[in-house]
Formats: sequence, C-alpha cells, structure tokens
Amino acid sequence: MKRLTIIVLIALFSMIGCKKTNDQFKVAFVYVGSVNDGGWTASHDEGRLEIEKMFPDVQTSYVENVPEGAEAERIITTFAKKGFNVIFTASFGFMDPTINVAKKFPETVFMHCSGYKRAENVGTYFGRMYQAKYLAGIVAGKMTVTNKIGYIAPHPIPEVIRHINAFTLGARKVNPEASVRVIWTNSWFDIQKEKEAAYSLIEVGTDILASGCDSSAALVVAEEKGVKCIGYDSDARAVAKNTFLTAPMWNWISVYADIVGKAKNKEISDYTNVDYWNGLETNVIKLAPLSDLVPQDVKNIVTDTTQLIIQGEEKIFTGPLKKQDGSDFLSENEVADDGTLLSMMFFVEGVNGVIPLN
Amino acid sequence: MIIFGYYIVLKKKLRTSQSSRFFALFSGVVLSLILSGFIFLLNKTNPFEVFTSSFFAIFGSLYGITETFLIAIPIAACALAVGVAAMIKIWNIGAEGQFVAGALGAGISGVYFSFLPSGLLIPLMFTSGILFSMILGVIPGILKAMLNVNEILVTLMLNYMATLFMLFLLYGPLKGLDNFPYSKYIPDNTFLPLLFSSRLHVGVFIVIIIAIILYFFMKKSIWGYELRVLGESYKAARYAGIGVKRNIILIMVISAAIAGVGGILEVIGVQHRLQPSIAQGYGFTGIIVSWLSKNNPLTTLWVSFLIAGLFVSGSDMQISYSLPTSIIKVFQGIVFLSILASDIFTDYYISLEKK
Repeated sequence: MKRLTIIVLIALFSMIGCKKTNDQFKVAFVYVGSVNDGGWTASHDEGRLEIEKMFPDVQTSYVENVPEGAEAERIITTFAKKGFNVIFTASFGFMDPTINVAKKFPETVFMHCSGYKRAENVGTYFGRMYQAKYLAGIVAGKMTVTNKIGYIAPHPIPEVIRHINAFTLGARKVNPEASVRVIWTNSWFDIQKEKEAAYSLIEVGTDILASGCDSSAALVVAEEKGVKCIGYDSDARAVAKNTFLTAPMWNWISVYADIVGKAKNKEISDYTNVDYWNGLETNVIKLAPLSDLVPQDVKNIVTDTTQLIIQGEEKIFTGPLKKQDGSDFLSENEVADDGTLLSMMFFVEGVNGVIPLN
Repeated sequence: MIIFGYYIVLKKKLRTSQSSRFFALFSGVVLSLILSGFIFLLNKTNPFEVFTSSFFAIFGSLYGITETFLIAIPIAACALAVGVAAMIKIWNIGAEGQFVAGALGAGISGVYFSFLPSGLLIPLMFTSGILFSMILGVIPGILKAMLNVNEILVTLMLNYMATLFMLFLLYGPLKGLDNFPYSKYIPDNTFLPLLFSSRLHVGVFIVIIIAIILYFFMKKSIWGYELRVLGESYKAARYAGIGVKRNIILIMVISAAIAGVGGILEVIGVQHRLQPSIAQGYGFTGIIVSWLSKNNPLTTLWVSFLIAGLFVSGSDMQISYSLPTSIIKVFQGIVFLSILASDIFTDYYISLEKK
C-alpha cells in the first residue's frame, strides 16, 4: 500500500511540467444559470460564442450556475488571477462581488450586467428590454380571448417591475379590457417553481402565458396545456411548437463586441461612466419573429410600433397613466425619465398582482 | 464470490488507525479519478491535465489553500455537529437548518443592533446565533427523549422550516437595498479579522478549537465516557445510572449549536449579510464528512479540507476547461461514491482463501 502511494505521488508531481500558458486576450463570463437554459444565460452564451467567431485571437471561458454571493466572489477572483482581461458578470446579484474583486485587480476590466454600481474598472451594461416587452404585450393583448394574461416573474426588483408594466401597457393599448396576472418565483432560474407558476396561472383562466424568468419551463407547460405563450431571453420556440407566439429577446453580441473591441485596444481608461443601456435601435433587444399563430394585422401593428419606438416618436411610459392603486403616475403627455424607470417599484393600472413588502 | 477456486473474503482488521483511514480514503480518491477520467475523456478533455490543474488550484497557491480553508470551515462545523450527535447514535440530519438558524441569529442582531459598539455587538451576534440554532436542536431532542419521535424526520423537516423562514425574512422585513433578497450589511467593524490578506478569517481557529475540545471531551472526560456507553446501548447506560433522556437533549442542543457557529462565522466572516445562498448544502456535506471521519473530530478537520478542495477544484475545472457544471456534478458524485465505497477498507481487508 505504501509503495503504491509513493508511486502515485511521484506520478502526480511529474505532471507538474505540463502546464500550458498563453498570452491571448482572454474574456470571461460568469453566469447565474446554465448555458442551455433556453433563456437568459443561453442568450449571453450566444454572445460569447459570437465573440469567439468575431475575434479569432480572443479566448473565452465561462462558469455557469454560480450562486449570487461569496461563491461568486471566488470565481470572479479566480478569473482575474488567471489573467483574464475582461470579465462579464451577468446577473444582478453579482454586483457587490464584482465591485469587491475589481478593487483588487485594477488592470482587469469588469462589466456587470443590470447593476448600477460602477468604478474606474467596472462598467455596466443592460438594455431597454421594456420596449420589446411592450411589443410582446401588444401581441398578448390582441391574442387573448379571456382578457386574462399570465406573467411569471422572478424577483420583485425595478427591472422586472418595469418589464411587467411595459408589457401591461402594450396589452392594454390594443385591448383596454386586458389584465396581467403576476406570480413571483423569487428566483431567476428555478424550473420547478416556473412550472408550478405556469400551472396555477392556467388554472385561474389566463389564456396567454408570458415568462419573465430565465428558463423555458413555462413554455413547456403552455405547450402541454395548449395555452399560447410568450417566451423571454432566447428564441425557444422549439419547445412550444404549437403555442409559441413570440419572445422578447436579448442579443448581446453588439454590446459584447463593442466592449471587447474597445478593451483590446485599451480605448477606455475610466469605466465610471460606461453604461450601455440601448433599445430596439441597436438590436441589443428585439422581438423574436412572430409565429404563424399571430394574424397579419397584429404583425403590422407590431412592425409599425417598432418603427415608432426606434424613431423615438412613441415613448412607452407616456401619460396619462395611472398606478395600480388608481393614483396618478404620469399626467397628460408627461414622459417618465430614466431615473423613474430605473427605480420603478409600483405596478401600473391593469396589473393583477402584488409587489411583496417594500 | 469465487474466483479461480479462491473465496474472496472481507475480514475485519484487528485495529484501525488514522493511517488505515487515510489509505482507505486515498484509494477511494484514486478509484474516483480513474472513473471520472473516462467522463472527462468523453468530453474531449485530457483528464491528467484537468486533475493536475485542479491539484494546483487547491494546493498550488496561498490563494487556493485559503479559499479551500474558507469552504472547509462551514463543512467542518456541520460535520462536527453531526458527529457529536452520532456518538450516541442520534442522527442529526438538520445541520443545514441549524447552520441557517445560526446565520439568522447573527445576521438579525447584526442588522438591527448595528448601533452597538463592536465589543458588544460581536458577542451578541454569537449569542443570538447560538440560541437560534439551539432552538432547532432542542425541539428534536425533547421529541426524541420524551416521546421517542424519530429524530431523523424531525431534524430533516426543520431544515426546510429554517430555510423557508430565512427566505420569508429576506423577502420581507430583512430585505435591504435594491428590493433584492439580501439583508443590509452588518457593520464593518464586526467583520472577523482576515488572515494572509486573503478572504480566510480567524473563524478557522474557532472551528479547530471546537474540534480539539470535542476530541478531548469525547476521549478523556467522564461525561464523554458516559456518552460512549450510551452510544453502545441505551439499556446498558440506563442500567449504569446514566441519564438517557437528559443526555439526548443535551447532545442535540450542543450539536445544533456547533452547526450554528458555522452559520455565524459564515455571516460575520464571509458574507457579511444574509442571503438565500448562505448554506449551499454544507449541512448535508457535513453528514458525509462525519461518516467518513467516523466521528473523530480531528479526522473531521482534514476530511473537511479535502472535500472543500473538491468544490474549489470544481470551479477551476469550469474556468480552465469550460466543462459544464453537470460534468462537475458527476465528477463530485463519483468522488463521494468511491470514497464512501472504499470506506469499508478502513475496518476490513480483502483476503483470498483457498476452498
């Protein structure tokens, strides 16, 4: 037994020599979900793969299913220690870990998705997803028969609430009778909870399911129950061939390519003011092609509205708007500014649901 | 089983030692590396490269070692907790919940009494954390002692209660900034001091001290002797005048408190706030570690370190070789399984006997 141990130890140490090194430009991605979730993380990973194609001299790596907390800090640190030049952290809960690690690695560029804390080497990026949610809302409003639309929502934070509100405004613009029923899963990625929420929404009579969560679980349920559905993050129509309407989607490649390109050439020295927050005009967000279930007239409305939003003629949060409790939100022709949108903690009229204690 | 006219027989070793435990574990590790090597090959990665890289991820730098210690702390606390109870044949499956309760106690007092000077606040966080976790220990203890309710079920269920209660607080009254399920940070003058300018905090010594105290208490003290008798047979213990009920409750409370200390250290040493991912299954990993270390507190320490290394190397494999998490999970599963299977060679050896 002892001899065996010694032999194995020698074998282990003799392998020391075979470590590889390289001086490539390295880009890392830290994901909260798994790359095949058919949603949020999948959309980021598509961006990563595109980066590899666009920049042959750039090497990428990722870690998936990273819990939002101290664990994330270790993984981000390991990336930085391994000499990665740009590190993308793609979930809201990675905000503080990203900032903490960034302090220790001033030479590394950190880009955090959906947060608001920046530093000299930490920028942020996101997209005006609410515009695509609004378009999806229009489709839902037109297609619903029972006038009840279900929405499966992750965390009750401004980002998600903004999306639900925009979705509701879209639905009620074309169908003032429509209401949107919200169920929280309190998790970005939880297939079981998303499924349960989908079942209970169908139970209470919603005939269109929209997901705001990271996986395509709700679409699977919708397909099983024969209820029309709207996905999120990625085009996952494959899992709901007979019921899929559309999906507001992320298309990160434009953002990622821009950041990686600039970071390679060291164009930006201070990231304190680097915040990508673009809308339909840059393709970072878009609506997945409408399926054949959607009639032509609805398709036309969506196309027209898209154009109006891109040209800046239609702003989604424009008065008169009322909050869910009936009080005034925006007066006639008043347009909500970005600050209001970023701190939105209330529902608009037409949402049927509660924002848990805040 | 008969091979070439020989019987393969398992024979009990006359005496077991730390070194036989180490070699059993080591053979398990080697077996698991061979098995998982094939999995990596299927993923078109060179298993030797993966293993060396992970080895260096853990032992190759001060950073790797400190990070491994950092994960070993909560695992060791939970394993020690499970081990104390297992000494008298009480199966505490609730270390996870008791860990969460400890974290809750520390977090709640840290957030709500943040105005206190750190000299008062740190003891308060420890006391309330320990008290919270003791509640989760005293319930199954009393139920077991008085009504003979199965402690496995009670402690298991209490895990969910503790975790859900924490989630309720995080989504409600404890919710901090951003409306995200995080509590506010505890005041930074209560953070535990860090070692070697890494993330490793002095809590590591607390766990080591607990293990040493437990070791001497179990081996040398009169009460430890009573408990060992109790572990062998409740009837014999009762006959010898050892209070069975009293000891069951006491041990459950002590066990819970040790797991609770793990939770407290996690809050004031690492996370500095409460958040849903605080426990991450440490309590369940602790059960495996306690089983592997045969309730020896000192063995528990280094087994915890090895298991923690397994987690650290898991993330390194993803970073360096872009392996999906599912492969890492399979790898870790194989390691656990092989180690548990090889555990039998701690006490037994194989011998071939002629017919």
